[in-house]
Amino acid sequence: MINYQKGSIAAVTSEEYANSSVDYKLSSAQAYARGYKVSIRNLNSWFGVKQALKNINFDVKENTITSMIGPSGCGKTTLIRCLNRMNEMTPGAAVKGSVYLDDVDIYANGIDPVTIKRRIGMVFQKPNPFPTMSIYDNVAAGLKLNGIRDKKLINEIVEESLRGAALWDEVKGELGKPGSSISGGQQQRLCIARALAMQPEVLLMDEPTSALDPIASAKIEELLNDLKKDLTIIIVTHNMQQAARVSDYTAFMYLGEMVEYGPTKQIFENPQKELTERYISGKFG
Amino acid sequence: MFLGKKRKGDRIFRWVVIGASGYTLLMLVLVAFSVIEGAIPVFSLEGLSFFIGTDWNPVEGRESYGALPYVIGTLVTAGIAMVIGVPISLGIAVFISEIAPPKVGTPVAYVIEVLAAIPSIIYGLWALLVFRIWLLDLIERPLYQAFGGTLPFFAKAPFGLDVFTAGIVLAVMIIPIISSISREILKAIPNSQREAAYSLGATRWETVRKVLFPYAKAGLLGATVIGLGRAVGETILVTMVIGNALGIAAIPTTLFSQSNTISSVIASQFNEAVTPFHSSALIALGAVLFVLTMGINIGAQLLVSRMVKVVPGGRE
Amino acid sequence: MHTDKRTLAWLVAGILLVSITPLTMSAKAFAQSGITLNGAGATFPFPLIDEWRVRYQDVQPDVALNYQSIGSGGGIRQFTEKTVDFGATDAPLNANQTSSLPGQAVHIPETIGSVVAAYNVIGIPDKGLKLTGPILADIFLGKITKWDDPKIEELNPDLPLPAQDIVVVHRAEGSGTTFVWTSYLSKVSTEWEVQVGRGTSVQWPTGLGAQGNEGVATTIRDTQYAIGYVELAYALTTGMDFAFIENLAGQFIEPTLDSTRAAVAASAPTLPKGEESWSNVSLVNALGQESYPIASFSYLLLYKELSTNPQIDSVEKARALVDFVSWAITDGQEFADDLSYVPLPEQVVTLNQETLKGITFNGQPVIETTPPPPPEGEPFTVTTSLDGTSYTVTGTSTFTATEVDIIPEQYVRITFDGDGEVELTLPKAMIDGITTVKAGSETLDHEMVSSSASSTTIKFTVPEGSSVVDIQGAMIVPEFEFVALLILATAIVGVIGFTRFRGNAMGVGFGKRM
Ligand SMILES: Nc1ncnc2c1ncn2[C@@H]1O[C@H](COP(=O)(O)OP(=O)(O)OP(=O)(O)O)[C@@H](O)[C@H]1O
Ligand SMILES: [Mg+2]
Repeated sequence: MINYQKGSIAAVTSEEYANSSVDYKLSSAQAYARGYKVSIRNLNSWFGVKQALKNINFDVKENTITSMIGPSGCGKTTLIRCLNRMNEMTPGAAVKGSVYLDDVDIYANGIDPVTIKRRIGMVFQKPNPFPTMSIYDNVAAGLKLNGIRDKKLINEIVEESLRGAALWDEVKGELGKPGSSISGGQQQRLCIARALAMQPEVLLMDEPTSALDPIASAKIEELLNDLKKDLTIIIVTHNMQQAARVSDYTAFMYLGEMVEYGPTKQIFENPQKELTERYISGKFG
Repeated sequence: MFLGKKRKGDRIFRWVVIGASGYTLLMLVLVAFSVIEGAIPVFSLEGLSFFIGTDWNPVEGRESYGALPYVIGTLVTAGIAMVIGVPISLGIAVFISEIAPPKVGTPVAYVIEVLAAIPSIIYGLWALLVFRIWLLDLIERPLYQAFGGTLPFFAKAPFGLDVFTAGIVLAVMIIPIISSISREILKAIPNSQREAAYSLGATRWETVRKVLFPYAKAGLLGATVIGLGRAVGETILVTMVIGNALGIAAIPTTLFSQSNTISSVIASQFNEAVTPFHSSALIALGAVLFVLTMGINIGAQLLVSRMVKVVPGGRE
Repeated sequence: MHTDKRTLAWLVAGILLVSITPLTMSAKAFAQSGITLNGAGATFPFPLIDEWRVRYQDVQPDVALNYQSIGSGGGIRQFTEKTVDFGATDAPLNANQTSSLPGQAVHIPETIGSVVAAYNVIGIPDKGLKLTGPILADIFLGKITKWDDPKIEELNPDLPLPAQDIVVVHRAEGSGTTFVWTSYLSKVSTEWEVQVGRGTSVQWPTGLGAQGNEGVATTIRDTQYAIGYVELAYALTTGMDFAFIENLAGQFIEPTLDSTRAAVAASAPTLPKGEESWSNVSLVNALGQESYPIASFSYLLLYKELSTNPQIDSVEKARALVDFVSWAITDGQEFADDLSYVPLPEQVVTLNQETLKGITFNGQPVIETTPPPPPEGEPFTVTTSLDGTSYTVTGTSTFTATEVDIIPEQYVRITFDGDGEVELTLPKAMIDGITTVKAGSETLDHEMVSSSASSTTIKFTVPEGSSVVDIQGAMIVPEFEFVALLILATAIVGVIGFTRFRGNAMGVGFGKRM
């Protein structure tokens, strides 16, 4: 009965990862003890009979940014949707395996998926603001759901979140306008602000900048760097430069499998698998 | 030259469409014309007090007609039907589209569709022969015994043929209609809206109430108005259970009062309307119903357009 | 591809045409020139009239009856608008209705209805309750509200009358039954007469309204302490409890077919003639020891001059209508008992027969009309044969027919050796539903003299100078039917084969394109 304390053991070295990305040996408790925020163990997912995730194992360190890359359809979205139990809401979807948030398996019996989602925020591939709510209410929606009634506090958090999402300056005069009345890129940033206002521990982002122009993208990337201090970020991206620029760790997926996972520098400069190398150098397909 | 000329198919299509819309307009004008023409005799007899009159005496030589009791009866029964039917309909729609697993939801939805297609006379027969007795024994009598002495709403011995029964049977009739339309509307809400709500830690109920309902409110209101239209215009079913009172006796003073609705009076009396005033009074009632339904529809349109103004959606 | 479809469409259309032809040829019954009598009105006599419709087929196969039970009001309206040959109503025409008629009408009582007070009170046996008119009026006015009201108790000292509220049930829609009921209440209660009055629908001071006799009966059955009124026939067949009512002679009378008939018989001497006003005729509260007091006639309405209604366009139709009505009020009454209707007493039948004698068509009495005298001359016979069947035409005239030719499906051509008036009897197997008689391009007036199951006799005048007359009809002996069947069969086989083949060919075509 070893009682692991969070961060009591030194972080896994890049070498450890290099050898263990597919068949990971660390127990979830050991990972937690070494300061990992999220640990994925033997995660499988199906849509009907089609298997979309095949035995995924990896750990995400607290206060880091992890990029998920891989060709379209390889399962990136499915994977991050498994991390906050969103995937199981899709009709026909099934999930097996464990995802540890700190030392708690969110798939264990008796865990309420609702509380999990309050701790793990999510930004979707397509912007989905609530069209009937104002910009302000969109951002405040999560707070109100969590029972926060203090007007002043809500005002503060709304402004802070909108600033955080680099949207404040554009909308500060018209917070009463409906959430659907702004541009697609602004809507995506609104969704980021909405997720931030929840002050989550982990933020899952599915191609958050695919709808944005380079300037707005740069703002988001900057924002991610700031946010890293307070939370753990997992981001799906098709943009290699972005992955290289913002993330500490990178995971490469292919056909539902985790091919390689390690520090970003290593994945991009010295990939261990030929498949990874071919994908990164654009020789894929 | 070649491009400037419209294609033949387009031209034909245009004329067909113009013809069709002209036809509807023409029908409206013709209906309005014949209704007004048919109503002239009773207005010559009663003047505008036809609208507020409470007498309904078709006996020759003593004729006197007033529409008020049936306007009230129509509004009261439709009101009861809406108060009871709308929440249940929305509940069913939410259950099917949001809560039930497909294995349960699909058959329930199918049954609802079938119920929505049942002709109202079937509901009427069932109501007259079976349902009103249940209602009388299980709801009306207990209510009367409990509150008959204290609340004026219930201060009449019930027989199961009254505005309450009519309202409830109407609710039973419109529930499948409203719920199947509402279900379609909820189904049409993009899943991303639900996911957005869930991702913020909303429960199912919060998602439905704070996100889905506001998103779909124009459509749900439309479904409700369709139900209201059916309730206001329903004839045979109401006639069978409302007790068919006439004149001042048809103004419901309690939930258990006998009454009559506009369409029910028309349906009951038109065949045997032997005097010209009598037929004319029934036609004039038809005109009142026409105006009432138009009013409801216009009101609903205004409501919807106001809602849409608040949220100029359009953009995804 | 395009042309193939078009060919196919033409082929199908052609086959449909070909296949319809033998159908029309053999649909003899359909094309037959029978007479249809259209009537509309009261619902009360409908079961009896419907029985007549069926039975009259045995008496007059060529006359079909079509009766729409749309209610007395509708019947009067349609009769006034001349869209039906006869109307039927439970209430006699009133002065207003009479004045808006296009011509004088006659009332022909065709059956009798009576109305009973049915109730549902536990503890009171079937037919046990005694009531009077004034008490019924007070109940329906809402003045007597309890079953144990002293007035009711006084009449029924032995019955365990409950101390419960009386639930009044009445008809929701306008009806003849309501007319009879309110006529009775108006007659026996001044207060009812003043406050409510009589009519097919009235402003009820109290009570539950239900649709039809069934609705009232169901409501009474399902509602304890209810009282309402239904047709006697309905009460008898459904076994309801009903009250004995006090008549004018002070007797409490059970409503039965006999006691109703007694009321009519007692009133018969006071009835007006058919063409006079019936608006004040009423059988309620009739004289006589045995008379049940709530009874009424149901009437057929005819125009005294039948040609007032353009629907009645020939003397044959006029005669068929009057014949039917005469049959209905005499032989037709046999069926009344079984359906719980009261048969007409003799006095009323006699009155009706007098009325029918007064009915005319184009000024000529319909019943007395003797067939027009046969033209002078000698009878003659000509015969022709087609497809192995021979047809014989007989006739009478001062000259004779020399030849008959059948032009299948078109006309029958008869050649005469003279001109003038002629009467011809043509077998129905050869020609039926005669529409026109032509000499060259000139259409001749012809008169239908008589029509039996097997032949038609017509009369016309061959114009001077012509000797050939063509007779057209709805059915003329067809060409050998076997040929038509053969064409049809070949066509069907052909189309099946063709579509099979085309279907395959198209399938291949699509396959190639994709
Ligand atoms: N709702 C669904 N129903 C059935 N199959 C699905 C569903 N969603 C995803 N899939 C399948 O699961 C696999 C993984 O899909 P996923 O959306 O996770 O890919 P992705 O890596 O996010 O792709 P992209 O880069 O295009 O977003 C795909 O093969 C896809 O067809
Ligand atoms: Mg994706």
